[in-house]
Amino acid sequence: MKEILRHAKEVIRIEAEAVEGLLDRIDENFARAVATILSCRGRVVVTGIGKSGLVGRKIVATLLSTGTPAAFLHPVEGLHGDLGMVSSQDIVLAISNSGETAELITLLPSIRKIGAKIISLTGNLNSTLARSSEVAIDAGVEREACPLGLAPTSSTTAALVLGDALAVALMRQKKFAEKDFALFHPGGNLGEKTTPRVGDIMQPAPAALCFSPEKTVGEFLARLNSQQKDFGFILHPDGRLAGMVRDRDLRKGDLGSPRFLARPIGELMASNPPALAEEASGNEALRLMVENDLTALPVVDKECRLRGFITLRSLSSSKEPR
Amino acid sequence: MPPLPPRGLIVALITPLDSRGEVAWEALERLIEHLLPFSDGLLIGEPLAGEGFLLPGKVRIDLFRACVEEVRGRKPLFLCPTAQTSEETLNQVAAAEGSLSGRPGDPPVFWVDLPLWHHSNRKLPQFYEEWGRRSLLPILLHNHPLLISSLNRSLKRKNIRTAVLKKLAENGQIAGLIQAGEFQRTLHYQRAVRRRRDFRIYDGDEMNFLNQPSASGIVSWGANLLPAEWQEIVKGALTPSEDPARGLKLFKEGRKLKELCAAMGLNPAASLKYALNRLGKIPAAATREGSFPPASAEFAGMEAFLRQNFSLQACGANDIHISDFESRKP
Repeated sequence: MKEILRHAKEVIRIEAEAVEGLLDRIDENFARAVATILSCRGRVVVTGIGKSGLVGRKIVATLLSTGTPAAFLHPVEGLHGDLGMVSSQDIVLAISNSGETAELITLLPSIRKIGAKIISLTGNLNSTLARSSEVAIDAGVEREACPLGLAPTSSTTAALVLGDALAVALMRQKKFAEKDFALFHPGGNLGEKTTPRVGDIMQPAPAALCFSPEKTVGEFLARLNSQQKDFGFILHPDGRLAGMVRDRDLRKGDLGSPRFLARPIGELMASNPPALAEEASGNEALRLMVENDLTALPVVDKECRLRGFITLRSLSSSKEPR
Repeated sequence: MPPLPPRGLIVALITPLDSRGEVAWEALERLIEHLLPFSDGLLIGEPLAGEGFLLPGKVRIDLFRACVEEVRGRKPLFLCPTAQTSEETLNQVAAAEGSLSGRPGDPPVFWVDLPLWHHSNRKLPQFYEEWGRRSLLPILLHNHPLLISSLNRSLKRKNIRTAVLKKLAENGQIAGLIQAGEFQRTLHYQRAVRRRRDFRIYDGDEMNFLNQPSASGIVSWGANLLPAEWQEIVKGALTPSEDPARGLKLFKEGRKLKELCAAMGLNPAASLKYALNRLGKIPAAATREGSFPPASAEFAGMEAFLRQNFSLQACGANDIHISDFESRKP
């Protein structure tokens, strides 16, 4: 037991030391890398093989969720056609501790021909990869935690940390805000916390087309056309929501018949449509719309009286990145 | 700007002696030629494997010169001039520097000093300033608490203090450290010299390197006997690969090298010489008078290791028995 804990603590110490060592290794090259990515009009294409590849995939995920367009390129697949995903507007972020990984080195001349810039994340600044890069970021470590060099350990941790540092530095430079984060994370708790409340973005009830169930289809259509809307709400006399009619509900009826226009609108409405409370989140609204194939939803109070409505357009405009 | 010490495998060369206890120059040349292709540098006159502290000053200078001439700049050389006192050490540096001038080619040469052997932590930075006035060649410090404890001075510190190392690292002439002490201290040292990105910290303890390899490399005793295996392990450690075939090979070789470490024990000069002599690589297994006394268990361990890993007859083993060593024990 003691032996196990001693070994585990040793590994943690070595890796912590490796990460702390980056504080002294990080220099103007890192800042140049950030500036290069900021000025890039394409994507950051991250590449690496083995555990560096796995780290690369995580860096892509972090870049994407913090607002930097990115993609992962497997070097071997790259050699067999996937290099087509790289354009001259892109930046290739190549990860290799030794800087001599054969699959990466083979890829470099083709990337150069395409015209994409190369940023390398390597532990060897004298390597072929570092020399072939516009910017080489020093990801060197003093010691691996795994015996015999059987698996990269501290070096992959260092690369991962530098990847996070890059993503966060880019995020800060772009002035990435909560709203932007919500845009890229519509699902899950993080998005939930940062999306707006329905009550904040809904249009109030007076802006909606409201009818009693006895009104005719003709009257409904006339107002729908004059106000250029594509849905309306049907209310009981006491103001409670009875149903909702979309223009496509009308198409289900016999539009050609003269009697159709005289039918009460209550016969064509969808009863008990999904509705939201003002406290609901924008995410919840989006989920309901997607599930029920709707572009608008009524917002009601506890007594089911109409308080307003929310549309897909108002929802998306409230989430647009700055 | 002084040259950077290489990353990789530095072999702490044994000093082959003949049966009269004098340096066997031809065997030394053959050994250097044998080891050079596998190593990234040779350490000459190392205290334990090389018995440097037991060689008279003049012999040590001759040894340095012979090695420099034999290597002819093909690989960096690390020369250990440490003597019993600081003044003697500086004199040895000056004498060696004089005898090395006009050497062929321009081989990178580094001094390796075990400072606590002749000095205390106190005023160590000033000592190396004085050294710098005698020689401009870069210096590597050697921290070896076990060796210092053999001095039997009760109040003497056995390790270079971390704060002192930090101060020493401000001296650009000091290019690195060979650390043979406990692992925790190695991490402290790493932190202390972090600002010097060119500063090398070699593992001076083979087990430490085999367990958690330093990115600078290793100063190895066992590479005198198994240079190809050590080269493979060091390459593997410095450029980790995820090729399973290579991983398996490293695993097997790592196990073999750990067995060799165990077989050498704390007596590398005697046990390595025993092995190399047994394999016909050096003419005699003699060690200098005053060398760590060999234990018969160590020889038995080395003999078992040799029998397991070498075809002794095919290697043309000399007819030497453990009992012969016991009788020649200093």
